[in-house]
Amino acid sequence: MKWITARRRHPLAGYVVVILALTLFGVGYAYLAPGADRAEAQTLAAEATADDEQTDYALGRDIFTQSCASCHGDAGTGSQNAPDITDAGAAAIDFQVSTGRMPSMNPDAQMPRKPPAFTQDEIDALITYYEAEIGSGPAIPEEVPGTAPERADFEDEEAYEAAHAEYEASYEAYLDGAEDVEAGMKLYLTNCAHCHSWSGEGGALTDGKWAPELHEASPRQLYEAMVTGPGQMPVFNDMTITPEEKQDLIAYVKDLQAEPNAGGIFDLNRIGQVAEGFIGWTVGLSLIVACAIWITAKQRAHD
Amino acid sequence: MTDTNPNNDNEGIDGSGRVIGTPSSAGGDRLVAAPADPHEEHEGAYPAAETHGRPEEMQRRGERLASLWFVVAFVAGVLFFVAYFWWNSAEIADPRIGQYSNMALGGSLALALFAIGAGMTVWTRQVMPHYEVGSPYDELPSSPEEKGSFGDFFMRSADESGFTKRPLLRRTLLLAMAPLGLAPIVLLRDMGPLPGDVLHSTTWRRGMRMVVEGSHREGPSTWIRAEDLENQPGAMISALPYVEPTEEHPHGLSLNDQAKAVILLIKMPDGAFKPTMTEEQLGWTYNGIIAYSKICTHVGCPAALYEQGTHRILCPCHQSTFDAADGAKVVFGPAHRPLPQLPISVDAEGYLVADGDFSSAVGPTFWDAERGA
Repeated sequence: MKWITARRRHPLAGYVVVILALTLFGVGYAYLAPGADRAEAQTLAAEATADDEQTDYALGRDIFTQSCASCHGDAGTGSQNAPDITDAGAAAIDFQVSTGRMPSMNPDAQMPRKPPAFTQDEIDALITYYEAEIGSGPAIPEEVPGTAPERADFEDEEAYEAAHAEYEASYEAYLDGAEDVEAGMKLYLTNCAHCHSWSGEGGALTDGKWAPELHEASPRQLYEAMVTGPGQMPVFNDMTITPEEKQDLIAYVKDLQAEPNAGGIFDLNRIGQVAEGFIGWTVGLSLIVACAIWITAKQRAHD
Repeated sequence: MTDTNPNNDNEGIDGSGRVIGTPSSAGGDRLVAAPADPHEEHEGAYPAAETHGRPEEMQRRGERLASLWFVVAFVAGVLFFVAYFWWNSAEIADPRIGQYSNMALGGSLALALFAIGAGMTVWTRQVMPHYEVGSPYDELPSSPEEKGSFGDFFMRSADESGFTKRPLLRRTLLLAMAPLGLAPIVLLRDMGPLPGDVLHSTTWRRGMRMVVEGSHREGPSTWIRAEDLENQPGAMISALPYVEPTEEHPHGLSLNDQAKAVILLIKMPDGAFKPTMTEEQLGWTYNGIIAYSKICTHVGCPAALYEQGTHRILCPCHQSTFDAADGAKVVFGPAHRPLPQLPISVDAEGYLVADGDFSSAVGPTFWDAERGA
């Protein structure tokens, strides 16, 4: 206490108090606010393993009733918490579930990308059930390679190796099949870069929403996002941007993903040279001004 | 302040034990005198009104702190060399490694320079004595006598020159100057012809078909059909007018024309248009498809950040926000007028076509931008 009493009249004491208070509020809020990450939970409960007797339909029904129906309704018609998904289509379900955005435990917050709660087989079963009972819409672009197979989904190493090699081959073939990556860049810059940023880093939207970064998206997820328009994203169907053009565009995004980030530890999310320069100048000049104030501050005469 | 010699840390620099870089003590020119009362004596290196020495305790603290800074500067300086030799020149050609080399070199150098400056500042503020130096200004205005005599002198000289007495001289001199005075105004002509209506018109004409911006398609699939969009609520695409390619412009339009004519085609869900839209604005849409200029009316950035749920169009430069469901009215940000709307309809073959030019001038707002073309 003595230590504080001695220093509370110091000229900098006020600033220190304000900074401490702000830090306390910031850290406290971040700790107390409902984190999206903690919303995963429970959904993993749907551990219905694919028994041989259990058909895809039954497995899909179990997953749907346990993980989807509480918000989207038994018939997928939605509720005040969640949209109607009867015309969302298989592509939308594959996108939302394989990127880990669904199932969501907090319908008020935008879900970030996270590890999926279900395996690809379970997602396929869910889609089988959806198409039989709930509705229809854009189909999964089967010709576009999805996520790489996981070792855990295979019983022996050999089957995994084979599946992985097959996946790699189709992946290479798809990207090499892009005729004109430069045209893909043009399409990306005119239609995608406004929200997802020139580097694919994403950016802010209104009402606290954001356009996510594209660094981990698989070609199929990119394709599905374009044809289904998840969240606030507009739809780019196969007539306005043809499948060949989408292939060019995806090849360009894959190039972007491979681009090394040369920003060091202060990369500012690659927001671009002008903004980075602006921040550099503002922060740098503020520090210089602070030094100048320190050097020239008037000294009390009788210290 | 009982200390009689405020700067008495100088033991050891007298006589033969002189330290490099310090003034010689020979000649009796002492840098700092030892005044009897430091608040009234005005002796010191500067003609100061008051000289205040630092208490011995503070000087010792300052000495320790400043030397700590200098040691930091030394360590950072050594780190600079370490960083320089750590990576060889072949390695730093790779940006993934070069970035760390850059940061280590720049960081250690900056720290070394900062620490030297900080040490010197501490030295000045805690070891050296503190002066109050005043230097009053002279009186600025001239005295009335000086002003009066200059006025007399000027009038007498004007009289002697004959400027008032000899009108021919005066008038021919003014005449000689007239063309030179006019020249800068006339030379403005080189800035080109007057803009006329150029700012109010774009390439769009009635019946022009549309193509996807950035697409390199050929044949009839080039043109956007109404059915490409009308069954897909939430769809959006950037489009340009279709113009036959020429040798000069293989894609039909110059970059300048593209920048002015580019539009956002948006398919709104049924019933999404707000009741405040005028009949005329609704007449310019086709089956829920609406076309706005993609160029922000603030400073002309491409505003294509469209949120299909809220129907807002955002400009990524300064966050101007337009309501696509309400004639692109500004709902937030620095823009002052709505995005111009392009009237569209569909031709006999089902292709989307323009029904004329934009509703007002595209791009950054100017004095009569809202006048129709």
